[in-house]
Amino acid sequence: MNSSSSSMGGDGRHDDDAALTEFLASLMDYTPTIPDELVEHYLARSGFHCPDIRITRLISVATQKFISDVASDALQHCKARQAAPVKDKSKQPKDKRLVLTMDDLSKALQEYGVNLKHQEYFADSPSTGMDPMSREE
Amino acid sequence: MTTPRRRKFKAEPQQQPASLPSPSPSPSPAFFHAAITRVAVAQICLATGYSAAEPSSLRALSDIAALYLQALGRAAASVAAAHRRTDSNLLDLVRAIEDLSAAKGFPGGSDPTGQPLRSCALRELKEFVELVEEIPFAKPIPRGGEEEQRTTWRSFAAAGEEPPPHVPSWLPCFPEEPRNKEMKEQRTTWGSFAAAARESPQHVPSWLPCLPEDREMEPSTEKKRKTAVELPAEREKVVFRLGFGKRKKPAVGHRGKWKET
Repeated sequence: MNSSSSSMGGDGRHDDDAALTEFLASLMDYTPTIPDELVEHYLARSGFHCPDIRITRLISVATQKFISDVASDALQHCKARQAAPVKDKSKQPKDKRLVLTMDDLSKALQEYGVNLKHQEYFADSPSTGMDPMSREE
Repeated sequence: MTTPRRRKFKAEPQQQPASLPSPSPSPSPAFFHAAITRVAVAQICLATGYSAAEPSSLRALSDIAALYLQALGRAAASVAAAHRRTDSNLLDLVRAIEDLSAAKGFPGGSDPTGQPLRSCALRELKEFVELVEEIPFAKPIPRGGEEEQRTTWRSFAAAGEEPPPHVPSWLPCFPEEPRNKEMKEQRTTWGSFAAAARESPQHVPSWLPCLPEDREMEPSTEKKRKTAVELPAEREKVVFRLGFGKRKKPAVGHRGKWKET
């Protein structure tokens, strides 16, 4: 059992390595949204040094994936809020546009472990500045 | 309740959005990077499906993107440093990506013995690249003069200079000696009273440097004193005595009684 798994593992490793090299080669064709110069600046600031540009591209792709995940989660929150029964009929046609709001963003980032709290304006609502516990009651 | 001002973008990710925030004419370096990050993050939001974004939330998300980038780099650099390397490689990076995606979780994250190159985090990235269309950055970035301002040092070996015998050749070169005569004269050299053949005031030992006022009185002797002055081998013994001067009345006498000295 062990020998068969190791031999299988050897073949699988070879395939994985080939797929990985193919992926890294394809990275050079793919243009990430975050430009290379910006990524290199931030990486130099954090002490990361690598002469291989594919690694830099991989980092920018990873960041792009993270941000798009957060944005899509926030979009789902926004759509869920719109799908809920609306009290005023006048609000509905205006809200067909999807706008990135601080509420959606903070809810989406909560899952990623980032606590984002937007300071409320003074006259936003009657319950501004109150304890969250008493506000829920 | 006034709704916050909303920055609106046209829903055409391929063409350049006309209402992108244009950077100020001469942005300072710190804000320049933030502005570029904001534009890139706005493009990502557009591609996700949003048609508009609040300025505060866009700014927050772009800050988070920059922090994520730096966190990735820092984690990869620390993993490489833990393995006695200065340059990071793919394995370090995969480890860093796994560390940062531990909050959300990825399949296979619970297995510590899994091979890093086969990790699912990498596979998810690969799928992302294959599925998502690429969004090139909207505007060309002007090249700043930052690279020229960075001062680079060269080691002795690189500069081809011979270091002094006690200095290894991989250390940076010594700074250049000032070539101007004025720069050399500004270096403070002092001469003692004894060397200057001057009488020191009563309370001052003769091996101490001259008072600065005396030096200005005779500008002709300044040139003689430029070379380093040797201290005299024997110096007067200096004795310090701590005292309060003449005591007229002690504050507290012996056992609370006034004592007359």
